[in-house]
Amino acid sequence: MMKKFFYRVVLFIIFTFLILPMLSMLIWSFFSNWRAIDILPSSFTFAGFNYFFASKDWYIGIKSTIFSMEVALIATIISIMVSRFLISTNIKNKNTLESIFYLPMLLPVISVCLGSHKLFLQSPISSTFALLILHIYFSLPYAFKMTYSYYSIWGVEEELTARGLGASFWQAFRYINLPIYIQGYIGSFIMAFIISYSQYFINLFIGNHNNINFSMIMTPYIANSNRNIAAVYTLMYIFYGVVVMMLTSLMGKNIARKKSLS
Amino acid sequence: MSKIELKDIDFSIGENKILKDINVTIENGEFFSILGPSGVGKTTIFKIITGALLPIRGSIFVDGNIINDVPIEKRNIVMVHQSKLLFPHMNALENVEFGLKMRKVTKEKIREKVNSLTEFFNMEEHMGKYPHQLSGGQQQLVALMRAIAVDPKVLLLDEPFTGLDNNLKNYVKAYIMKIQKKFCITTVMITHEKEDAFSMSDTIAFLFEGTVALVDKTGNLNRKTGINSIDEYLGEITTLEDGRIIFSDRIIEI
Repeated sequence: MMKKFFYRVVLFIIFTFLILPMLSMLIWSFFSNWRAIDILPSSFTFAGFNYFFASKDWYIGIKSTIFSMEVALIATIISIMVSRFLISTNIKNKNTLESIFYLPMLLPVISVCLGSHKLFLQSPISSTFALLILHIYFSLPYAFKMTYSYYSIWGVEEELTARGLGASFWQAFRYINLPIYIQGYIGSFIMAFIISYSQYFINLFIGNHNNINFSMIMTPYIANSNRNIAAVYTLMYIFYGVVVMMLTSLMGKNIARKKSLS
Repeated sequence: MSKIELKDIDFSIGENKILKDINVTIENGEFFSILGPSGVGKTTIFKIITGALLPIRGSIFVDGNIINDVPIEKRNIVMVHQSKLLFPHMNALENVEFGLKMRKVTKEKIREKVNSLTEFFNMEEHMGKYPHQLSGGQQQLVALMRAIAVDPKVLLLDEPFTGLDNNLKNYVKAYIMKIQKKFCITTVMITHEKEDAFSMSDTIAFLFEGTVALVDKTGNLNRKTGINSIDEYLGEITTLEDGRIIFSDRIIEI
């Protein structure tokens, strides 16, 4: 009885907060007009999609997706290294060290951006590199949380056993860690990707004209009243993200399924 | 088989001293047990021997050569962990072959080695199974096969009977004794079970609060040691005679 109730609650939540808004976006992306008194929208159009592809904003979408993938990859690698270190070594104040990695979650993005803006203006590094640092800074806690949780559950005994059996550090990572922890790594990558992909303020404050990301070009369309274009941009924004997540998950499943030494 | 010596080993985490002045010599081909209650630093000693942890002070010698700076994979010391015995994504056969493949042993030799081990452990019908399809005892046997497949200098067994019922425990115990005799591997076992230590070991070291309180041949431990902590710990042993330990409530054949 309770199981059925919870099942229905979950279905309701999924429908209300995921499917319904997406459905609305989908409808709006093909229609320019849907008045409150109309049951169905009128004036079917491809204008939104035509505008999106003609404006080359699709290219900015791909660029910012690739940038966020780079950020996610670096954040995941850092997370793996830190998690391994914290799990495999016995050091004092481990919890304090762990907490330091979560600090960016507590700081408002706008405050960090304002402070960093001044700092990076005075430094010789390029705005793209500064942007990369800040994106990693905000993505890292989420990526770290995922990998560290995985390492906390699994430990490093398998890796130590493999090394005791004669595997080098890289062999142990490739044949043992990677297949065992891959779901944790994928989760970490996706979390970092989502955080980086949805950043608006960082690019606005730190980036120059070369660092415009998809969130930045999408926001004005959402803010103005052209719902058709806003819906198309929102759908495409989701589309890029979903493609990355699906490909990453697929890759992860393949690695996990693959026979380790064959 | 090799001789191991731990000399003046200290290990601490911050101010907390885990191991203090550990001095132990384990002879060639000996079955050596480190006995003590939980949480006294037994597993830490193993981690130091394998190279997973570095001691704050002291040296580890194998056959007279210091190995403090030798990487884990070059030490040829294999540890069978208390839990997570096998690689979960590999079947039993792949688990056993793993170490040999890492050492780039030829396929023919791998096959030959694995076949002889499979036969010895009577595990022919289980080699295609994944760890979750094997019983606790079978997992333990596969872990032992994997360990001895690489002809280790030293075999370390970390509480090898955890989670096994009495029947399985005796079954695995018999195999450990068999391989120890057949392959003459220097074997070190850590345990908090007095019966296991007494029934299997040539020598026993008692570890209390991070210090080795006493090291002696099993046969010599048939009387009060005069060390309070050990006598209290071994309280229930009454005598040791003719290859039997006589406890107040049971007798164990050695």
